[in-house]
Amino acid sequence: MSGRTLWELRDLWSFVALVAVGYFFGRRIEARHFADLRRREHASLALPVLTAPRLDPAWAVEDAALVTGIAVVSIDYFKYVAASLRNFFGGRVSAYESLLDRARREAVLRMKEAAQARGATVILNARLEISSVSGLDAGQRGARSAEVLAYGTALRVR
Amino acid sequence: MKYVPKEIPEGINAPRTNVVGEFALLAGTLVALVVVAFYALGVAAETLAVRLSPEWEAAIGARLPTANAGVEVRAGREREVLVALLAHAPRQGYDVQLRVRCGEKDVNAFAVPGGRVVVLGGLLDAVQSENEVAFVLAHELGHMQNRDHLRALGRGLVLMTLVAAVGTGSDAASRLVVGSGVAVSHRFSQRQELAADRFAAELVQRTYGHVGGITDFFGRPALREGGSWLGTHPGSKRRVLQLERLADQHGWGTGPVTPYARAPSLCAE
Repeated sequence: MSGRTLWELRDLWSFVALVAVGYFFGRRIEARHFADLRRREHASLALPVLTAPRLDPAWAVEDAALVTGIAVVSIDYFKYVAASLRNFFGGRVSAYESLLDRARREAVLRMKEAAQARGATVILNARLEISSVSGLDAGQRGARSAEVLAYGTALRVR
Repeated sequence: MKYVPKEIPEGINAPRTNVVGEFALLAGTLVALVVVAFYALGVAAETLAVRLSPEWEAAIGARLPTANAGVEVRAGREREVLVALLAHAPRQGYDVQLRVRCGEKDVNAFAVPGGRVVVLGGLLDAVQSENEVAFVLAHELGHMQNRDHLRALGRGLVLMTLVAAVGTGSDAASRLVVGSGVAVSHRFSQRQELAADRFAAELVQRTYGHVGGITDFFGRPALREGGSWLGTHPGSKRRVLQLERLADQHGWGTGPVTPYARAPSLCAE
């Protein structure tokens, strides 16, 4: 007659708590990251990143090297739940859009910073590769994060 | 060609959206859908469940793992109380069996489909009068009379079906489905508990000629419950209030309360 221990409901509360914690921390971290990205993008604006594969024969190249930038960004629990709700109804998964935008910009910035460290003046043939770390597949549990690899040829041209 | 650096425009790839609003809308819609579906399917399942014949009910009950746990009580005071109650209760299509599970210290009792009332050892230790024992047994008989365990079984099946339809059960959306489904079923359950209490009070009144001592049960520290909107059972206060109001309405009085202590032989086996 007395109330049974309701694991299902405990589950629900822990779920709500996880979503709230995820939202609180995720939002702060994301806002900080975006601010940092804007600052560093502005600082590295002078270095052009091109997707063109070939160089102008008239350029006098002093240095050429492969430069890479890798960024792995994980979603918070709030985004995970928001995305899984989106999976249910369909539509734009905005929770993942900001995640991938951050990862891509971070990777490109790291590539540019690597190029600047060599004194490069331009990055040619820049490419992006994206893959998921630890199972973004449906039905899998665990942290979902995206890895973005940016790479290109850094040149110092006189 | 001269390279002229330009600021990168913001928000093309990740437009600013109201994430909380979107989340609330999606989660709210999903929960609302589940509540409506669960409610409607639950009503349908209950309608079917209560039409099951007593033979079917007994056959289902016999397959449940809870059916044969513990020992059957064939004699003794507890059995006499049950027999006295049954003499005043509407006939069921099956014999009612009393079973005790002495080893279990939970303060609980439940009805298994097919006419089994199971009382746990913790409850036998907590009650202090025969009238309380009668109330507990009558409460479980109320569940049988209203066929609550069959209804619950029907709703359980609906919930499992819904979860299976939504997904694997491990992702967040299906957790939400389970959570809201469980909450709806607990609302049903609280209503059933109150109905079983009403049945029990009436049956005790008919059997003993008074309802003295039946609410003492809820005052025992081991049994007192705060109760919550989402729990399976209403809070003790609400249950006592209902019983008192019922007694007032019908002019049921109080009378002598017979002390009770579990007989050592009850759990000797």
